[in-house]
Amino acid sequence: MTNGELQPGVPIALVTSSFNGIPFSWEPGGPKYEKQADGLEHFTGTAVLYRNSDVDSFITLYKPVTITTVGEGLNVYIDYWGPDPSRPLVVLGTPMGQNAILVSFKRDEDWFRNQQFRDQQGNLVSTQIVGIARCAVDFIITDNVAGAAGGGGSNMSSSGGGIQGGGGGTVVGTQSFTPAASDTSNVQALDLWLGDPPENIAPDTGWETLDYDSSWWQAAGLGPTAGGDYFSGSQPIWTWDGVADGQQVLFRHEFGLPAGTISHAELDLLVASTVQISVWVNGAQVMDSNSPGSPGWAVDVAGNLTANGANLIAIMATSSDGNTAYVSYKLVMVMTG
Amino acid sequence: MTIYRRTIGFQVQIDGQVIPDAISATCSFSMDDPVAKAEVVCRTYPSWAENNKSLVIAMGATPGVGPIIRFSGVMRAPTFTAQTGRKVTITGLGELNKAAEYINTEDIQGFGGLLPGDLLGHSGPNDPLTFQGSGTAGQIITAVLLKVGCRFNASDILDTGRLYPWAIPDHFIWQAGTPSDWNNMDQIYQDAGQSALDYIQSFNRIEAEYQEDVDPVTKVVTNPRGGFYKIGESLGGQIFCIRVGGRPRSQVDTSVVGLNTVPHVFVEGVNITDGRMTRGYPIANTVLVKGNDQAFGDGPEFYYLHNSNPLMGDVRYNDPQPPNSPMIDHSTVNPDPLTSLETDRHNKALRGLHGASDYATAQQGMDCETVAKARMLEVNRVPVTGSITTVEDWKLGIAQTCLVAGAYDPATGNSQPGRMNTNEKLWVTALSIECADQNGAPVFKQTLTLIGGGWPDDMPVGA
Repeated sequence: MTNGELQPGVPIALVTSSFNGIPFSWEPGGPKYEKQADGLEHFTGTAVLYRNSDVDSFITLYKPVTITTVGEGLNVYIDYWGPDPSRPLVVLGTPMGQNAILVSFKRDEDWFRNQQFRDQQGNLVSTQIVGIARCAVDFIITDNVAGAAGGGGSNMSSSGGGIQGGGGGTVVGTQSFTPAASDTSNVQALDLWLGDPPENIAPDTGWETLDYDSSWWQAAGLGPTAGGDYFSGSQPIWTWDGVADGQQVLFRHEFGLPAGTISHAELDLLVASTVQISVWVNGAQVMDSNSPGSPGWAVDVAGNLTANGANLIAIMATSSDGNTAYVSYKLVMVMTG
Repeated sequence: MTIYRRTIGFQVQIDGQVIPDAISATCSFSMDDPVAKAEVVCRTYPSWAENNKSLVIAMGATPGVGPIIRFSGVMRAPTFTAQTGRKVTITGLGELNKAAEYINTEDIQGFGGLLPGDLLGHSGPNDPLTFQGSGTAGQIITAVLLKVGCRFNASDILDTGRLYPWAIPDHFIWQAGTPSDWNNMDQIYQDAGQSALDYIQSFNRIEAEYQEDVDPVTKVVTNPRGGFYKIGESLGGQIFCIRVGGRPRSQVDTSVVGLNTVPHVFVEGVNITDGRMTRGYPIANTVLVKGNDQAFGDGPEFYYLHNSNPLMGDVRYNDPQPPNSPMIDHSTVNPDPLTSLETDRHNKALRGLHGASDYATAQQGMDCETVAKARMLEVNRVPVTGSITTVEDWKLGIAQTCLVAGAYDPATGNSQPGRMNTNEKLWVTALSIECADQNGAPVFKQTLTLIGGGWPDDMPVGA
């Protein structure tokens, strides 16, 4: 690999995007980014790939799906055979942290033949300058909320035209997953609201730390959303005790992480417009009295998490409404093995 | 906008082996045709497939209830297509098909077939005083299902609790096709005999229940409710017999999705991809039900019920298809069964005199009054019929209650009629579950046929 290469054969100066860690460029003019009739946002255009192995990888990532849009696009169902084909898509100059499915992939064989890249024996040869293949691609964005507000930014940022992970390693060969999302089965909740008198009790000292024993807390309940947005793959949580104006609720979500290097960790948050939250990750406060309403907020928490160990997301939520209150979040991570 | 990513599971087994190249499958359930049906399309015909081999279809979406067994039965009639797309279509028939194809040939006592007592293990003829040899419809249906080899859960077979036969067993015979002259000991088959399902459904036509609230002073009747016990087959070959009729009043059925219990609420723009609803015109406001003719010379037992409704007024519109049956023994619900045969026939059209408790202590055998009042709930209403298609993977089934609404607030429970002008609970009378592969991508959807409608509970029944 030379200084000008992101990976062997991949010129760092030309790469502008990646899908599941596979670097590629767009033909001049870039992709078309639009919301189509199916209700989803699409990245469509011609991708320039630089290695035959990348072409093979794209083919394996291609997944036909059935998209069913209900009503005026309030709900969109994406159905597919097998495991979830969503993978991280990075398109520089657009919101970070989004997941996408490659729903159309067609290599332009004529383009390759017309380039006449041949050696002296007349065999076709590849080039690292113009890429090895031009492919018509269509990505659908499946997690378009994550990071859309750009609040916390992302460590998958552009650096000299290449794609670098915030931890210093590339995202090639990494795995994207969601180790924690708000739900009623993994989140514990404590309602601080007394009701009569209408005030909250003070939380225990250190409740937001891993050492605190919250085994006596209740499981979180479903929160009334009144039609408000929450992340797909998560549940809008509150407490089973109901909602009150001025009510404070604590949430604790403990989870483990595998061994490896954390190259990207983004905590996406979305709450009812009448809810304010403060958030701690492993005891370190990452958000203070904010109300990340739709379409959500992304906080970079890569530096707060511990690989190969236990981790904790702790949230204190305060409702200013007596009817609607919920918290939705999910932790989106990229780790290298 | 909410995006749901779902993985679709789909598997078809014949005789316990998975078909490797199944393209699509459709499972159909209906209250009108209680035998579940299935249709499987595969690219090649499995070498081990054969008529009457077991056919099991599992499909579903995750998140959702997932790929659970939707159909369990036998395969029939493979159809081969050799056009541009080679394929084989295999038909499936559900568990209840065993009852549909079982024809009785037994005539133990020479009455022309099997008496309920024969099915229930009683020897000798029916005794109207002790009800020896009689049983509830549920007991009789259970005995029949056991006899034909159906796999079912006895607790799913419900009934009114009334005993049949009450006095005369002739009309409760499961016909064998033999002569009904018991003196003829040289029985020969004269007819084809009666299928088990047909025999069961003869009870379904009369097994009525009716309840109403009666003001003790004004005698005004409100909140009429009731229906008929009907047999059906739901997911995975589950056989049931439950009461269906009138306006759905039971709680909306639910599915367990993950850790959540989700009510079957279908909302325009949220989970209904296609919908059609019709608010029809009442069929009738008058029902005349005829029962058994006891050969006293003055005709059959009957009950004449005349109501009104805002559309037809008091002008009499008769039910064109009343559920007449010689298996209905009495005219009214509560006369003395042995002494009032003559008089109860003249005690008709006494609307507003029977409360729910009366029916709890009703005499044995069915009466025309109860049948007429249960039937009235079906004909004297604005029938709300239609169908909706949803991509929700909930554990839907026929005879379930669901809520169809234009807009629905899960926090308050409030809903609006919306474009389909529907905002009410409805019965699921038919269900089609479809899973297919189209160009490498799955299609999963459920289509429900629905019925409901009725006058408001607080609308007095016309005198």
